[in-house]
Amino acid sequence: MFKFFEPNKIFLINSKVTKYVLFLFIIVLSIGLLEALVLSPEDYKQSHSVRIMYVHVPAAWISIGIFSSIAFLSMGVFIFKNKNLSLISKSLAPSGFIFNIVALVTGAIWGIPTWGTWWAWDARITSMVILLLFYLIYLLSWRIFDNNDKAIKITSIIAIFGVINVPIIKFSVDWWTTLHQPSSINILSKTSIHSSMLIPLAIMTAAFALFSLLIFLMKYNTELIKIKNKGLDRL
Amino acid sequence: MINEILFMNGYGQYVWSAFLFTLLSFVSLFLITKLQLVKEQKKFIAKFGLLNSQKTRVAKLQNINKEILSGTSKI
Amino acid sequence: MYGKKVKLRILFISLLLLIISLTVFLILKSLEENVVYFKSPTEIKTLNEIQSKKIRVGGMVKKKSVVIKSNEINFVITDLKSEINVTYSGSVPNLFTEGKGVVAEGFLKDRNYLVATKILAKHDENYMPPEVKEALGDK
Repeated sequence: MFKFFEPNKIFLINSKVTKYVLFLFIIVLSIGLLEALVLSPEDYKQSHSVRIMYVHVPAAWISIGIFSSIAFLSMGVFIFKNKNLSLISKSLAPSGFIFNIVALVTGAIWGIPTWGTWWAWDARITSMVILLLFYLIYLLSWRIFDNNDKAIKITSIIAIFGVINVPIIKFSVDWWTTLHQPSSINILSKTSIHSSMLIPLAIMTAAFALFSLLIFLMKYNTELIKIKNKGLDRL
Repeated sequence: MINEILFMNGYGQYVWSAFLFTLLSFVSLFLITKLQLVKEQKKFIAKFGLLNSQKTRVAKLQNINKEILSGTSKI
Repeated sequence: MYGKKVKLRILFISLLLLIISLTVFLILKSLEENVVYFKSPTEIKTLNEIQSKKIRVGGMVKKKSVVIKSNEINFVITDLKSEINVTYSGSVPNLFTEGKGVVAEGFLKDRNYLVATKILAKHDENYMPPEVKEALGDK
């Protein structure tokens, strides 16, 4: 089942793929930026400040997505005692962390002209801050615990605990009254974003996902070389 | 046209600062990750790379030795 | 398919998640008062006593209710069931318009009157170009 994740095999593919991913990321990002900043229309109410949405929303999605995957993989670490999964989780975390910061900062910038305040302790924003704190202690505990086995255990537990926050973020706008608007894109009901605005949103999401993949591959490579440097062939 | 893209009806400062922040954080994360990777690669080469090249040199020498030996046998 | 140990660990993780979720749920439930960002005018009407601390009221700015007098702005927040009068001095955000969402932070004088110290515009989840909005408005 986990043959696909054999570190040595990935290592070989990985070094070549990184270049192509970087290339593809730059192309998709350029198209995305052109769409988001120039070609897409302004909003009837927010005017041009709607363009901030094209970085804010994908960043938020991906940071939540990455944390969920980390938690999922951590459960795998615990259930199957597969330590390579924790290495994948570790390599996923930095880009998720950065996207979380980007989501919060761009949200604050967007809030100034739209809400009239850059910060509000409403349920959505607070739960995103909690996610950021989870990312922080997750990344920190990898650095603090030198003992690899201990680090794997503690980071996995942090991720599993933190995943409870994910549905809270998702549904915070429905469960409580918040300053943040409810989600516009829903799987079950109709989306309330006009199609001309969905194009840049989709392209930017793809670009951000590619960036995560790029950082993940580089980080994973680094981790594998680190292990080899320590003189261990296997995990 | 250019003016409109920069000014954006008065929202330009917000839009551009949001996009610049995003791009800056991308570039910094990329550079940090790249630096770490290069550092580990250098360590790896320092440790094993040299070993490998030594091995190949030894192998080459062996080939040369063989040739020398085969050469000498002809004489 | 999997060993007994693996099954036990799956059970353990599921139970752990269940316990944490329930705990978080109970904590949030008991803190509901503080988790909500604003109250609706209807909720203000049913308050037992008027507290002197800062409160946030949110809803829609009632159409044709905005009156601007030199430095002061008066309007009505409605949730289509109840209404509350708001008075505020200062500048309002660009997106503050009649018929759109608003959150007013301030002090209650009585159940029908709020003196605001801060006005926040609450945006809705609809995004569309102006032309589309016009076309929709014509219908």
